[in-house]
Amino acid sequence: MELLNFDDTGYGDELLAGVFITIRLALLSFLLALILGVVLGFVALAKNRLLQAFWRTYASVFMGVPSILIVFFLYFNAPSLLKSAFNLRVDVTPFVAGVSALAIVYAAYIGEAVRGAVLNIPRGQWDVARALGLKNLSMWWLVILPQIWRIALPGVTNIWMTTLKDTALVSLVGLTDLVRMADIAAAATQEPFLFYVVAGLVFVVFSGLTMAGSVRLERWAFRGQQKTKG
Amino acid sequence: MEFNVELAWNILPSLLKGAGITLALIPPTMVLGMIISIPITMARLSSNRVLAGAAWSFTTFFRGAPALILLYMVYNGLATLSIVRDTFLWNIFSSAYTCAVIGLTLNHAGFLTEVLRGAIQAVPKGLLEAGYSLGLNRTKVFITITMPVGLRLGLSAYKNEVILFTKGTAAVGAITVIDLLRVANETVSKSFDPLTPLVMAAALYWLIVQFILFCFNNAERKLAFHT
Repeated sequence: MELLNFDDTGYGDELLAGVFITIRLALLSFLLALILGVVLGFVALAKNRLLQAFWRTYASVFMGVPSILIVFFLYFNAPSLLKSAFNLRVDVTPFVAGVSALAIVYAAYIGEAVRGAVLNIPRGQWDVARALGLKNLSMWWLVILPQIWRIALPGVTNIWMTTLKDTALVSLVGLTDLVRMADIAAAATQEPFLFYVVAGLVFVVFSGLTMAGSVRLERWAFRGQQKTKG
Repeated sequence: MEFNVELAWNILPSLLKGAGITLALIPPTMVLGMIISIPITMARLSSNRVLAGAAWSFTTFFRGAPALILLYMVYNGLATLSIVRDTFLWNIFSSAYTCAVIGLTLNHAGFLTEVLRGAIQAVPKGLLEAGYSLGLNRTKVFITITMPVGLRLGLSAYKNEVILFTKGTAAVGAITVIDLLRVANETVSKSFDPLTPLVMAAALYWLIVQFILFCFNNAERKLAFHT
C-alpha cells in the first residue's frame, strides 16, 4: 500500500495527475462531441439529399471504425493535413489528437441519438404546438426540446460512459493519463495487479457517479411526467 | 501526404493477415463470453443475495473498467503470479493471443450479462402467466417462452455489443498481438507514410463491421416473422 503514497516513494500523486488528465480529456471530448453531435443530428434530419448523404457517410465511417484508429490517424496525419488544407502549422499533441478523435467519433453517436429523439416525438406534439399558434422558436424551446432531453438522455449517458472508457486508448499514443501512469507504475514496481485494479476501480467509480448523476438528470427531464407502474 | 495506391497494394497481404488475427479474436470471445454470462445472469436474477451481489460486482467491474486495463491485467498481471508462472497454466497465459481473448471476454461478458438480463426482464409478464396457466413448469416456461421471446427482444442490444467489442479488439496491439491496427502502425513506421496504411486498415475494419451488421440484420429479419 505504501506504493500508493502521495510523495516520492509512492505513485499516488502520479496516478492522481493521470486521473486529472483522463477527466479533462473525457470532459472536453464529450463537450465537443455534444455540440458537434447536435449539429449532426439536425443535418441528419434535413431533407436535402446532399446533407443526407454526408450524414450517412459520416455515421457509417465513424461508427464502423475503431476510435483508437482515428486517434492514431489524427496523431500522425493532422499536422500535414492541416498544413496542406489551411496552410496552418499546428503541433498535434497526444491530448489534442485524443480530444479531436473522440469528439469526431462520439459526435456520430450523439447525432444518431438526437435524430432518433426528434423522430420519436409524436406527430401530435408538432400539430398541437402549431395549433396553439407558437412560432418556430417557441415551439422548439417549449415543446420539442424538453422532449428531446427526455428521449435522448439514457442513450447520451451511455455515450458519455463509452467516451470516458475510450480515453484509456489515448495512452497508446503516449498521453500520460491514468492508464499510462498505472502501466508505468506497474512496470517499475513489479506490482501490476495493484495498479491496474486501482486504475480500473477509478473508472468504475466514475461510472457509479455517472449513474447517480443520470438518475437526477432523468428525474429533472421527466418532471411533470406520470410514472407508469411496470 | 497523399494516398499511395502502389503502397496500398503492396501492403494489402500483410494487412489481410492482421485482419485475420482480428477476426480470429471474435468467435472465441463471443462463445466464451456467452458461456460465462449465462450463469452470471442467472445469479444476478436469483433471489439469493450473496449470489446476486457477487454477480453484480463482476458486471460492475468488468463493464466499468476499460478493456485496455483488463488486457494489461491479464497479460502483465497474471504472469507475475507464481501459480500461473510455475504451473501448466503458463502454457495458456504465455500466449498474447490467449491473454487477449481472455481480457476481451471479461469485458464482453460484463456487457453481455446486462444484455441478457435486459432481454429476460423485457419478456411480458402476461406471456409467462399464460404459460403457467397452461400447466407448464418453470423450466418449460423458460425454454419455450422466455428464451425465444427474449432472444428477439435482446438481439439488437447484442448486435451493438458485438460491434462495440469488435472495434475494441483494436486495443490488443498494446499487449503485442499483431492484429490489423498493429500491422498498420508497423507499416507506418516502415514506409514513412502515415496515411495509406491507416486508411487501408480503416477500410478493412469497416468491412468487418458491415459484415457483422449484415449477419445480425439477417437474423433479425428471420426472427421477426411473427410481427
